[in-house]
Amino acid sequence: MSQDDDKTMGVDLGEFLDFYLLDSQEQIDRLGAGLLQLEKEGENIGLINDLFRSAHSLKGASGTMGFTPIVAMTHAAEDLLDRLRQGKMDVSLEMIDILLAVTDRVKAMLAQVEQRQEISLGSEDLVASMRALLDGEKLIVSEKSQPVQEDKAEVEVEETLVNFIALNFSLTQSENEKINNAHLMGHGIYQVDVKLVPGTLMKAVRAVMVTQRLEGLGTVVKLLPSIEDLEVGNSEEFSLLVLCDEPLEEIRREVLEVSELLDVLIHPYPVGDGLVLETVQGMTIGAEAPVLESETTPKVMAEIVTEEKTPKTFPDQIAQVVPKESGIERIAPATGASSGEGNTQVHTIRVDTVRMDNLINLVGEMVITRTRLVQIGSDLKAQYSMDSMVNNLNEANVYLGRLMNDLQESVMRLRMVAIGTVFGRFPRLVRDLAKKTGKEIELVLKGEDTELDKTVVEVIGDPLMHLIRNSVDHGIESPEERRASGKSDLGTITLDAYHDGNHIAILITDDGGGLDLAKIRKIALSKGLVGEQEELTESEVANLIFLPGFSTADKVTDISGRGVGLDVVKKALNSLGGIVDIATREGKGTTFTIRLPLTLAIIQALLVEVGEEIYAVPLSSVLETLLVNRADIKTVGGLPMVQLRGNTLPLISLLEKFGLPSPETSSNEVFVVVVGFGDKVLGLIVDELRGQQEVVIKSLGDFLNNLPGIAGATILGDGKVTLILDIGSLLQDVLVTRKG
Amino acid sequence: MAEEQLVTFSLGSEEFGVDIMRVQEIIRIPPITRVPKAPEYVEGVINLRGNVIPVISLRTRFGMTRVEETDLSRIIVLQVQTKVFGIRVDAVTEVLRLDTEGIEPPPPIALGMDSQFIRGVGKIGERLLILLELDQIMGGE
Repeated sequence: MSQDDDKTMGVDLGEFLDFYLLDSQEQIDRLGAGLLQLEKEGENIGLINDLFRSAHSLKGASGTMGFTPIVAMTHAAEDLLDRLRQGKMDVSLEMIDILLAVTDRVKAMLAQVEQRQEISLGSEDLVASMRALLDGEKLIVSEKSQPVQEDKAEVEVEETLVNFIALNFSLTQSENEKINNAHLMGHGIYQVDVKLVPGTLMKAVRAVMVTQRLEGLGTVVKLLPSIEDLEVGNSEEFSLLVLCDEPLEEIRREVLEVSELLDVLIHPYPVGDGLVLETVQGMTIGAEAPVLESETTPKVMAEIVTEEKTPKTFPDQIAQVVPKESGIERIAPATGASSGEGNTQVHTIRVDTVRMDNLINLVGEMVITRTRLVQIGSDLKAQYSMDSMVNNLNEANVYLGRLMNDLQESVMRLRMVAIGTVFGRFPRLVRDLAKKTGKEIELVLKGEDTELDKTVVEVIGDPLMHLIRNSVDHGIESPEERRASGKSDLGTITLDAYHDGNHIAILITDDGGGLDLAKIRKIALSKGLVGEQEELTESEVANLIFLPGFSTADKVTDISGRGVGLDVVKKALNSLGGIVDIATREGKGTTFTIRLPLTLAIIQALLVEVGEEIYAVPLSSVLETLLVNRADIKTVGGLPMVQLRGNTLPLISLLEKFGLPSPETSSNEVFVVVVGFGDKVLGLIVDELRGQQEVVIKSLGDFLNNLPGIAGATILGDGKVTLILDIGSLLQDVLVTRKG
Repeated sequence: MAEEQLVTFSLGSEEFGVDIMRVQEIIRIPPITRVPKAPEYVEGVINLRGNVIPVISLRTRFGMTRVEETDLSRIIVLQVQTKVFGIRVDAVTEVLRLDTEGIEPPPPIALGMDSQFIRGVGKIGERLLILLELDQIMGGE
């Protein structure tokens, strides 16, 4: 059985699926990160305990949902980790590798579950490896057998007679007939009483699971209380009337496979003849992660112990996790449930992203409307300057303006996410890649708290991954090469992120061999990407690697070098309105610098007139505006430029760039809007400046959102659509291309 | 007896039909903002109650000549999967029901425009309605 149907006995497991997926994915991530840390640190009992708990609760949750392959693997993993925390085994590289492989496999299985598919991936190979480890390490189990926590924390208890109360199942006519027939035919008829661990959630689900198990062995005639009653009621126990020919042991074992059962009593149901005093009692400790660490109290045989642990079911665990934006709506205030992880509890709420976007849109509309009010206010003032009502209106407008600013900022903050969430998957990536290539590499992360707009964070992951792969593959040298050049064997890749004025900078630095500029130039030449006689500065040569079709790899490796990687990165970054630049020093290393504008949905814009059209330039990218004489515009290498305080400023004529018709008359002077990030600047030639205004960025929709130079659209007060320029892509063109 | 409900419109002398379930609204032509470097058949974008919607000139898409805008010109705003866009038409005729039996597959050599846009031809009495394949109109995405 690999997966239970979603609809069983009227209970829709589908609802719980979302909870399960969310929780499991977080547990798996935590396991993965913890394993990497363990690899570095070696001994850390607190960490090992955390890992054990994660594996344990994953197993429990997966068991409830019926995902047997996941249970199998997490079960074995739990055993391994248990040995570890008891000091019976040492951390070994082999163990970490296997456990990491398990996290990968489980992740893949979860992905299948999310797609509502059957889990098709196998688990036997990994389980076998883990068992081998466990067996190979049959360690110092000392004299007095310390009862190791058994598989399901199940404790064998001597059989004891208990008082049995036969329930009245309120059988219908046909059910009664069934029972009687079965009795006549000599089939076994049992009442199975199940007690749940106190505080168990999803009681109905447990009942369903037990029913399913029993249906596998025989026939379930009735469940009391019914599913509906179980769901709404407070009862923590239920009973089933079952027809079964299997031995009692078998039945008990089957039922106990379901987690969170406190007590299972199976008793022959009296039909006609008297009671048979043969009962079997099974005890299960609720399969929950023990909350307290001093959990080593051995369970001595022959003692009936009813364990009442604080159930930590996974909905509880969801409540205490820091929010991640997801499509799921759940308001779960963080409870103080300590998990031994020592994190400060953050009070958080999960919010549906659709609602948030609605909120932001509404605030955006308010901004536009306020702008109109201001306009009307000033028009009125021009006409009725002495009217006190007009003055009142304008005063109110000013105050409203302040409120709007605050509201805007707060709402924009909602969308900000720390870049650390993206950085999170890279340590694992670097570790695996380093192994593959036989290099020794350490990844240093800085600036993980730097916040970015969520849309940016979603898109930035892949480009960063590409660049890191590039550094591993082409940047860092092998340990031998490094030693030969007097460097330490261990190479370092550093990821850093910080705010820099009007934008965010993300740096990927490696202390490898730097870019081989001569080789790059040669390859570009051979691929016809650059002319033989062309004179290129070092930075221009370096930027050649961003051209499509470029690759310095002699053979296509698995990791990179397919000639596709870096221009895809550039495109992705441009689509975010950002730019990427390279700095390299031979023998010392390379640094990729990504600069992204702080994308906000409402921005200040400078309106400019080009020909007959009006465009909006994000004010945050505007450095200054100039009035320039046409005569002062020179052409260098095909690109128009102008002298600005001793430096040459490259220019772009928006008229030409957008293929707009030239106006009939053109004056001697034009306006140049200087835009840029940091030291990368560019001048835009426009006809008129139309003032500055707050605008709300509207997407152009799926179809039109990849146009070069256009970031989006906005609607001005007059209702017309105005296009917003994409400074990033305009800048990138100037940085990389040779001809204008 | 299966039926389709269609909104019919005309381009020049030819009549077309689109599935009414995809029609969001029909509006007069508002100011259209040109979008540089967009495909030729994209006239530009318009403001539809705060949303920016692209407008396609069907005439250009079908390789017909452009004409002057008249009083009857309209934009039919369509929603195809998640995409919302408008098509400029010369006039909107009516809403009618068409028996699916009366629909014939597109003729191989169709009326001078790419047959990828046609999903069938419907007959109502003497009238021939060209039924549009909406998924293909917007760049076939």
